[in-house]
Amino acid sequence: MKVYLVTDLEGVAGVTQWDPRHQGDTPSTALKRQQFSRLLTEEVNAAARGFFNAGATEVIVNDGHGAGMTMDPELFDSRIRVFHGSERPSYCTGLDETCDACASVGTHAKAGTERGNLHHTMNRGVRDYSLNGVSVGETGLQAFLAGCYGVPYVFCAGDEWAVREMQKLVPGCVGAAVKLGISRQSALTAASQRARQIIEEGACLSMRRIDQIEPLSLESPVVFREEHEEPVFDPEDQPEGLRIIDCRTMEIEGETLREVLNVKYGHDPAWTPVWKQKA
Amino acid sequence: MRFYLMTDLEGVAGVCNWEKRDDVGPWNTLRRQRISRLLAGEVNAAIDGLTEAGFEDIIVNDGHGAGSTIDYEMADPRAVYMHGMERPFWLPFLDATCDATGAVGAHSKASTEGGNLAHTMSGAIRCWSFNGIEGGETGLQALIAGYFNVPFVFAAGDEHLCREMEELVPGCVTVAVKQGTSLLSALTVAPERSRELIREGAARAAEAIAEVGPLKLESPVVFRDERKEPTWDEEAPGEATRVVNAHVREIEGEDLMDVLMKMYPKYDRDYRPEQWRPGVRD
Repeated sequence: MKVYLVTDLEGVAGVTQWDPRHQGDTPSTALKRQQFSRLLTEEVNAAARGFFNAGATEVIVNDGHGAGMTMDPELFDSRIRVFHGSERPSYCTGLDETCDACASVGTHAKAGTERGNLHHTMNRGVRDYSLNGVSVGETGLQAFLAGCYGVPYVFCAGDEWAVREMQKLVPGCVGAAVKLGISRQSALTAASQRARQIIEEGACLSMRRIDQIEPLSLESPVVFREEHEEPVFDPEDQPEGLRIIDCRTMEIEGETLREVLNVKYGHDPAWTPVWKQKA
Repeated sequence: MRFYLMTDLEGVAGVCNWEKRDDVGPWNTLRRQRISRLLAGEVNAAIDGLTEAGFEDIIVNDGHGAGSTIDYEMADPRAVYMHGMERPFWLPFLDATCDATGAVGAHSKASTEGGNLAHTMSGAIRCWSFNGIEGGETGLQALIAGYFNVPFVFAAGDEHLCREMEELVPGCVTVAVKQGTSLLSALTVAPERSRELIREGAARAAEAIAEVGPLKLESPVVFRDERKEPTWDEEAPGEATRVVNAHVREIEGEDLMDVLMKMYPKYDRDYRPEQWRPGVRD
């Protein structure tokens, strides 16, 4: 049983403020970032323990925040393998039909969630994403991508608002609420040890829900819509594959969500990982 | 039983100077990490004592500065922590559901002679009072708690602050972990000793509930805000009910909450955070 675990930073207990990676490289930001890195990694390890205890044989982790190297490799649970780094060949590399379940740790609420702690979708300029008219945040998008391969999204650890968002989108998925955002930059939060206990327990339980949770599905064609807070598009300029609706809104249409995301990020659909190539 | 524990930095044993958050150099960064640990050690000691006193539900407000000063990796898992900045209220979750409140790391109010790191909110304030009762940050906490009928029963910090709170709330338990000798100096106990004292003091907090009544204000409530520098303009009173002179303004309201909403117009009076504890949601 193989679990694909997506990670982000903003939903980790103890991380209530934005990653200071753009606030200059000072001793203060460096130590803060190291602490955030440890907090994230220990939550991932807790989820991994829960999955393995419940029978998972493989846990593939996507170090998803920022430049994709936020987790601390020195703390990795020895059983996990981690996709990390930038300029990746595809969105959520490795999330495909070989996975049995998809999950997320460090999950924050989507853009526009009033009291969601550090709520956003991809970056702070985005107002909303939608797929065939269904509003999604980053984790919703990932759950739909998993669904595109028949893989159910089963577990969400993070802000209570993210848990509610995902449980609404994917009925039956298990949540581990480690904090409650009360404004964008403040939250009532569990201590790290308590957060890890809750995550381990929830992750374990979620493995028993795999067969009961319907993978998310999308009718073809899939229409991805991206709305921005500020004008960012020029309707006179229609790049190939994109439909610029107005200066704030863009759409991409494709047969599948994977196809749409390949267009969005300029990824080569023919890319094959080395482990699928003949030696 | 639910306890609301406010925390600040300036009254922690071993801290005698300002945090200086804008100084991001290596020395000050390491010093800030150290004082974060000292604060966390005192908070944990209070949690030990409060647990012993029978409080099984403890909300810690990480109240200093940007709201993430307690070394989070040392946080005791028995409590939940109010964390972060740009909050919808100064003391979120302090309401009628709490059985008692108190403070750790507390400093004396602005203008306290000899008070180590004495101040009220910002360096600009000379004196705050509510219906003539002078109060610093911890005094205001006791008044807000009183508004919700919650007694203020425990304070740990500078001896000057302890005396201030004993006068304001007779019967509350106080723990002096240092004695301020000037704004930037103090005679302090060792951190190990401060933790012992705090644990012992917090363990008596529940008994104090019977001794201490909620600190209430008669209506109308008049807040007097005196600044060190000329600040207020009679021609443009803004939120003030009265501009007494360039240093002093008054804000009058039906009750304390009404006054607070005028003091901090970004707050929404109707906002009540939901009752929440971490857990698995199945």
